[in-house]
Amino acid sequence: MQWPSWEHPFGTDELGRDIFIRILYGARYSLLIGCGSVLIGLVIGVIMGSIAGFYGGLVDQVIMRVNDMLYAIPNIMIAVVVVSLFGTSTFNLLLALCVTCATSFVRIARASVMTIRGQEYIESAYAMGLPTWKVILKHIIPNCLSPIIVQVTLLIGSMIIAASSLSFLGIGVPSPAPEWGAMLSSGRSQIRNAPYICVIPGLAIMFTVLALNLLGDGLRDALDPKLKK
Amino acid sequence: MSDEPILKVENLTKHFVTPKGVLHAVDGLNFEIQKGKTLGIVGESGCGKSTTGRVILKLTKPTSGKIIFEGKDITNYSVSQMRPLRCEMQMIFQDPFSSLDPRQSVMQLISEPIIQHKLIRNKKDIEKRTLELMDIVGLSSRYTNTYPHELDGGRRQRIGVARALALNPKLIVCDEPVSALDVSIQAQVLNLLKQLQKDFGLTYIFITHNLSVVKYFSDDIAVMYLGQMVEKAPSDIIFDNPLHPYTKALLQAVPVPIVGKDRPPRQLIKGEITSPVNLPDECRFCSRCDYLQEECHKGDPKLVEVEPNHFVACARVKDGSKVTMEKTC
Amino acid sequence: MKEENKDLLIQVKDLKVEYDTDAGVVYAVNGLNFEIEKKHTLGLVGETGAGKTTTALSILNLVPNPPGVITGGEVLLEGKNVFKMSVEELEKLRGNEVAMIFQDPMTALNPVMTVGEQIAESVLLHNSISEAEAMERAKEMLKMVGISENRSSDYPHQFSGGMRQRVVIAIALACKPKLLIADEPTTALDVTIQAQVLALIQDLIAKNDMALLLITHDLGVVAEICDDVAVVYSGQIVEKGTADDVFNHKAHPYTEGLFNSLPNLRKRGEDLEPIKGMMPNPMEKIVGCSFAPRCQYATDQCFKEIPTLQGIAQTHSVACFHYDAVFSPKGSN
Repeated sequence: MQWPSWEHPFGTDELGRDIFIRILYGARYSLLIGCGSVLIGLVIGVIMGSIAGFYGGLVDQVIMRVNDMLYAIPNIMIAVVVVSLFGTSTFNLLLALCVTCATSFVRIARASVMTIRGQEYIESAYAMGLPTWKVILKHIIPNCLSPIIVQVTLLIGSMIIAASSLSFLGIGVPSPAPEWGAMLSSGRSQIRNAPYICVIPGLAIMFTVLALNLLGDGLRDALDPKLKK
Repeated sequence: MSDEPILKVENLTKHFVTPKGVLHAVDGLNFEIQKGKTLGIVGESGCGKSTTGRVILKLTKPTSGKIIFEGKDITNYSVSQMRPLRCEMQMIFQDPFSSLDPRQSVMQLISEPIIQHKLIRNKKDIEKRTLELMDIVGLSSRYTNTYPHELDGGRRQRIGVARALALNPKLIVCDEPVSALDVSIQAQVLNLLKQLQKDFGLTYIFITHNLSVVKYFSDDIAVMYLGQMVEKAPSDIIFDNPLHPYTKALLQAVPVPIVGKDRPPRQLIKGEITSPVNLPDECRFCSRCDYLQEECHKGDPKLVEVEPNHFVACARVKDGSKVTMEKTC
Repeated sequence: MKEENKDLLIQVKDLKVEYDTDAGVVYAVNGLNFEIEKKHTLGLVGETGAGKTTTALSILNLVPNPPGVITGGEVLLEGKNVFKMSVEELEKLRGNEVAMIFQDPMTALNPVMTVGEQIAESVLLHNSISEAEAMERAKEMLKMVGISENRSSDYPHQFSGGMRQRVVIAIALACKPKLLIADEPTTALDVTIQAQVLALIQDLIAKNDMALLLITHDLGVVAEICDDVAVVYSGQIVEKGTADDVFNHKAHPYTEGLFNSLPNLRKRGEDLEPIKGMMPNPMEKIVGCSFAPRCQYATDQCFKEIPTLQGIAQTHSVACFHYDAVFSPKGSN
């Protein structure tokens, strides 16, 4: 174990591995799991949520009750179930997390669609003779983008943290993968004499999530035509 | 000029099923409109005038009754059968703020109907036609790439008019087209609509709660209350000789901008508009009527032609004889 | 000319208000002057963006700051300058001596409090009486506005729009204010309900000896209940006088234009005469008369100098260099 120096900018860990290189490689896992789970969850969630919000009635009730059940189960439990059934791997972690993502997108998409569906410009589109699928694609979904984009960036951050937590607990990415959460976990034992082993991956998680949140704010503003001058 | 009315509506009914009961939005509406004329539909909240407009355009399915457009019974037309008819019947919406997709520019908003119906295929020609339409409605061409939120209410409403015109319709349902606009802008848009009617032979259904605007704009006026038509007559006659108690009350309730001796007397109507859910089987105006009598509780009064072209649905006004309306309370 | 100062309830002198927004400075009110005598009603008429609501909010120093800034002028309430009052003095004033009602009855009431509680809240704030007494007073107020007393424990959503507006009026009048400011009080209501509410307001202000500042764009409503009228354009008063002065002897080209664009005074078939052009952009400081670009009587002078209000008859003043092109004094024809 060496403290940070020119040769090892972030120092080395208890097994002598360079932490800087591990952080860089670890980024891959975090971003892959974070973005992957959110994107898959996004597609599934927006489709189901739009259908529920658009058609209402029984369809809405069924979709929402199933969603509520899944939403109520903590993602750690889902991860535990998936892992015990299929074993620990990056892909299984991604699968477990995308359930959580999908449930929140279903809610957001449904709420947005319900609001927009009542707007007069949707009626105007029908009056013009636009078929339903075009109305949804051209008019409803683009106007839902704002809350969805914000949610995407927030969720990527949450999923990175979730992945790290699960790896910390040992049911995420299997070691010796340099996943940030796993690094945090293994650094616990050295927290007294070599705190940097823990702190640095922690900071990496923190700054990544912060950057993503800021990106989300900026994107939402950039895509809003009302803010164009 | 053919005698066939461009639009005929028979016993048109629209009910909504709500948890509290059946909501009678429109009940047994009967009227016809000749080509090139304007029918004004007036009433207050809950009278069903907006629903009527939407049902006629088949934006919502009627519960029963018939809609006959240019001799064709379109009541049961499916969505795909209605599609070509969309070019013939269009709508101008009330709220210039929410009736335009905020993500589309003026050019996109006006050309969308043309593109959808493939009226013009060539992109350059589409642009040309859009600019033509903008010119017709008095929108400067420098607004082609602006977004609705950058424009004021009057200009937004002009976009709505241009969109409705883009398909060269024969009938336009105007749902409170000037209510959200300032008085001086209202005048501009009303003049525009009148000019378009002259130039293109348009037929309008003009839905509004504003009696002064409807008098100015319409040839005939239909007064609605809680889903039913209570009186229908040519514009001047309705204002000079209103027969239904509700029409009388409505006309008297309008605040008139006259000060001094020419100011007409005001008569208030008592009570609130009752709920359109689960209506009892009697005249719907019973709770507020000053001319109430026994007969009024015995069921909905029928619409009767009391003089040529003047229809009234009231138990006290029957078949042509000019019954003097004495107040009973 | 003007009556003695002690009959004046409120004097607004050269009021100037700006809004400092991201897009630039909006000159909402540009030197507004008017007075209301005790027990009189003044109608402030103008279109959207003229500055009427900002004026009303300024009277109670309620202009949101930021972004609103009062950059000049004073509002004298019985001689005291509202802008120099401390927070405590203002709190004593609001709801108590001067009350305000707004346009939208749907959002004016707190949905989680009963209407009785909301009226009593106002009473308790300004009077040291018990809660029970305040509730009694609340029930009295409900009765006064035509709502049955036993509805005092109902919630706002159980009332229709017209009835909610009556509750709003009850709250406003609960402390017997000297001045009621009503900002488009009936615009959101149906015509027949509007008539009821206007009659109610008229009745109550007469009974309670109150003055009324009515803000509206509807000339019909003004004709209904206002003694005096002031026409607002682009943040300034361009004409004021009694209702008879302004309606029957109009002097300002904008007033003339407003009346000409009304449909009900026209025969069917004739074109309406809208005022050409648009209200000027409130972000630009205007040189000369703000109405000049739209005025058919405008001359060079109008584009260079700002006309100020000048008296043209005993109760009638106008801010225009060419008012004689429009004005026909009383007695003529």
